[in-house]
Amino acid sequence: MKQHYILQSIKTATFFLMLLLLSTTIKGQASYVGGLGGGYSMVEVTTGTTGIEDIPNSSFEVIIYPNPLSKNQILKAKINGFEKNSKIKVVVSNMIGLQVFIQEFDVASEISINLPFEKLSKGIYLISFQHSKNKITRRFSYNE
Amino acid sequence: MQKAIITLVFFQILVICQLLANNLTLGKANINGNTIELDISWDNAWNYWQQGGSKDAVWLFVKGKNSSGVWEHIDLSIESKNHYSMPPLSIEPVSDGKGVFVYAQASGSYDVTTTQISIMATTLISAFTHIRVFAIEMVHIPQGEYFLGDGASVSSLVDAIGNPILITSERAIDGNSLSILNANEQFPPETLPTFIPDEFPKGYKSFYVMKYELSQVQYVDFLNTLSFLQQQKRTAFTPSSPSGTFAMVNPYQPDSLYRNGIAISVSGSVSGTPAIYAMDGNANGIFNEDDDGLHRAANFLSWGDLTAYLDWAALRPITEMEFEKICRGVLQPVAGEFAWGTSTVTNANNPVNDGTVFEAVSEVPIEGSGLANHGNVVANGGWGLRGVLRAGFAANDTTNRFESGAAFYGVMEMSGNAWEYTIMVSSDGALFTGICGDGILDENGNANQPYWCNPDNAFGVLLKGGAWSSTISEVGSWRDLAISDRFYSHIKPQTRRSTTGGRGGR
Repeated sequence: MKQHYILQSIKTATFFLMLLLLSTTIKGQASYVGGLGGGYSMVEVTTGTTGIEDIPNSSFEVIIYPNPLSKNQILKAKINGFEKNSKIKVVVSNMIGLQVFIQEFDVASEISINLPFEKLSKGIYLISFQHSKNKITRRFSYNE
Repeated sequence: MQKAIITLVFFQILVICQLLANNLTLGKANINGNTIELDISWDNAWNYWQQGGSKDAVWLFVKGKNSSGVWEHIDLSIESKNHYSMPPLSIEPVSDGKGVFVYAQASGSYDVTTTQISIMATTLISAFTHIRVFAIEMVHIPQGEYFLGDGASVSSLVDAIGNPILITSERAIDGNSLSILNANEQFPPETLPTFIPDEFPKGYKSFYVMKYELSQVQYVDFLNTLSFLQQQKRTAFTPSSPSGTFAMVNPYQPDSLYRNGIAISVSGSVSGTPAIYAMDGNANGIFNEDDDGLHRAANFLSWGDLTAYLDWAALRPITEMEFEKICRGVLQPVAGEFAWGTSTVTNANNPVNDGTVFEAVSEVPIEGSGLANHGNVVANGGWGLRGVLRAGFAANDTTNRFESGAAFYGVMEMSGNAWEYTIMVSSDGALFTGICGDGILDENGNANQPYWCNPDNAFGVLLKGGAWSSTISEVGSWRDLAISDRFYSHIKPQTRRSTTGGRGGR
């Protein structure tokens, strides 16, 4: 009985060893992870310029600079196509969706954004500009 | 032996999972003569091609707006020497010049941090006022044998004596060597063709397939390059409808969105000015907010809508044989199996970070089952989540094949979320030759490639993989998510449904 049990154990161990070897040989067929978004992106280039824009879903446009941003620098946004005497809401969030800055500005052709650097760590941030019924999101990197 | 196979499958799954993500981004684009320089990045690309596995790649194609305001497809050079990439990327031109594939060259898996590439057009770029570059993440499925049919599912394909078929080449198949197993008694299945020609894509040769189902923002970007007349054909409401009109939903149930947020942002005019479309997934009247569901799978697509997108993007439909190859890979069939290779499923029903780029669910699959968005009417006494989730909702940087609900080669949501249109093994479908789109639609907004199955009558088209509303019964019965299931082969899927979407290949 005991011998039979030992034999069975050896067979089982051998079987799993073979599985391991087979598994090793088939390693790397694919990957099964994912992240943000949906595996899709698009940029638009206006010929004769060097800038890029997101999809022109709205009538206003925003360019931010400097990018990358360093500590204690002021982030500026150039805005075109806004409605005069109105407000623009600026929201900055990190890549896991945590908002680190929200402020409403009187809209102008250029606004200065003093970010709370104590809340920022090195990485990529999303900055969105909501104006009237439209919203534009840009991305910038922050180097401490 | 069956237990041994199951254990082996489990081992393989454990060994081959990797920590990968997408986050595909294009940026910093410039035009220099006929060359477009741009930055591209995506997280944790993979390349196991040398090991006989798959690799991911990005399909890049370019459209230009001419001085008349019409968007045209811009062909790219078919010679590698005319394109350039910094390491670790490599650029693979295609013979018809309709785009290029960009992929990580070295074996393994790793992030592609922001990397500059340049691609050369064959037409004069300065003739266009605007250029748009589109990027779609794809998976390159390797050449190789696979099993067709699982030996159990309703109306599934088997050989003449009722066993799954080992597909060993792209050679023509005599219809007499095929049969239908467990035929649907309620609705007799579509009859099999007498002959499947060499040209019909059978999944043996390598091919590319979209890693994710077509997303709503992808469809929005597509609509925003069409004429008024073409938009009219590709949406449910006239483009001159008021701003805020949801464009794809059932006109007779305009408030039933089923998590589709494609809306008219700026109305078109009957004189011919196209509308501008945007996303409003949270239905608050503000477009393109962070939680507007941009990356949710596109539902309410008809066969005509999907094929128009694929022709426009210079891709093509996939066949039902390719669908099974993507899911099953090199493994033995499992009766009633879903995309992740087992016959059990956990329903994804409770979204978190709803509508954002982070949209996921709170459910964790029970051991041995995969996570998928499907119907839940039996278990909970209700339909649960009524609509689609983000393309890739189940996958994060630690998921395995079950947790991400992935197919063998890492393709996502092949089971659940949205039904996917495929070319059926049938007399109409067998005419399909795998020809790719050329980027140009007809003036009415229809795909116009030969033998793609008629965009209006959808003869020869089969819906695969089930959707958010699909309930699951026992193996061998109604089981929409099962990869070999052909319960609805009798249907000619012509109309927009809240459950229908799809993806393409090349």
